[in-house]
Amino acid sequence: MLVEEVFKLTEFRLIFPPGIFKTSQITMQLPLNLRNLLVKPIARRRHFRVNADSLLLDIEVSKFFFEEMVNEIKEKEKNYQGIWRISKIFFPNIFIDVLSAKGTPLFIISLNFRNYNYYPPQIGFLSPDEKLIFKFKSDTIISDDQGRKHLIADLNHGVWVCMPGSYEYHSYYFDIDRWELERIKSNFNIIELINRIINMFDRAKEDIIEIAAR
Amino acid sequence: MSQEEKKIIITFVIQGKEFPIEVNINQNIKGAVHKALKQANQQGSLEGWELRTEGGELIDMNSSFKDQNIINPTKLYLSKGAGRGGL
Repeated sequence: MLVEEVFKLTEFRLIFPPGIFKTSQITMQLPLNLRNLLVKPIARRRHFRVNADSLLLDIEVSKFFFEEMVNEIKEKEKNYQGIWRISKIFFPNIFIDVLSAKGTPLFIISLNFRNYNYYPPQIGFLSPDEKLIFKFKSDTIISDDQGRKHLIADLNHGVWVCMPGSYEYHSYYFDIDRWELERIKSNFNIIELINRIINMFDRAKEDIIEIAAR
Repeated sequence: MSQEEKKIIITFVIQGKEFPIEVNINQNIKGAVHKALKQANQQGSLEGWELRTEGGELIDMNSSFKDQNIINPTKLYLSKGAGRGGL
């Protein structure tokens, strides 16, 4: 219930990961003595966040970090011959060619470092002829050890990666999973990020794109 | 040297850096992975780490190199799984 721009909390819901309990969620009533707690609605908190989908916050900072990313990827790509290689570099983008197990081009990962590292890189997928990919064939995407798939088809904006370290993930889960708390960890190294994305695909298959722009 | 004692160099690639480790082909893969991660200053357990071939095949770290048909020097790639998120 909305009361003068705040919510009056009366119940809450516990959501469990799949495979632990028979039920996936339980709704619980708050005890009466706690029901007058007032909390700001999540929608309003989101409103205060800077929307940087297409905004460049500080070009000098972005260029500084972009150079660092370019140098790191250039230095390390030699150790991934046969898996991926740099395709194009143009500020603030780096395109990565991903190869099948047989060495043929599968798709391109587009990394956009527009506001790195204030925000994580924006990640998109292009066909080998640089057309936006909206959907991959489902049998070519590998589930994680909990049975979840992290590549989400989107017929409007293209496939996005639902994984920490991507702009799209931290933008979606802004309230509960902050990039600021993650970016200094070595797990979020750019090389690691590229490899994690590639490991979501079955590279033994060569025809993996279901829908791409014409 | 007999097949039972054969030692090879496995090069583990972690976050773009190479970490060569001498292994006995009969030894458990996990032990060698642990050594490589230690050299890469990756502390903690092996939980969440995945080991793959260049072709992307996932390797069972609980088996031996020989059981996984890894009997010659090669490169193997270590990275973390996707972690949170997903549907």
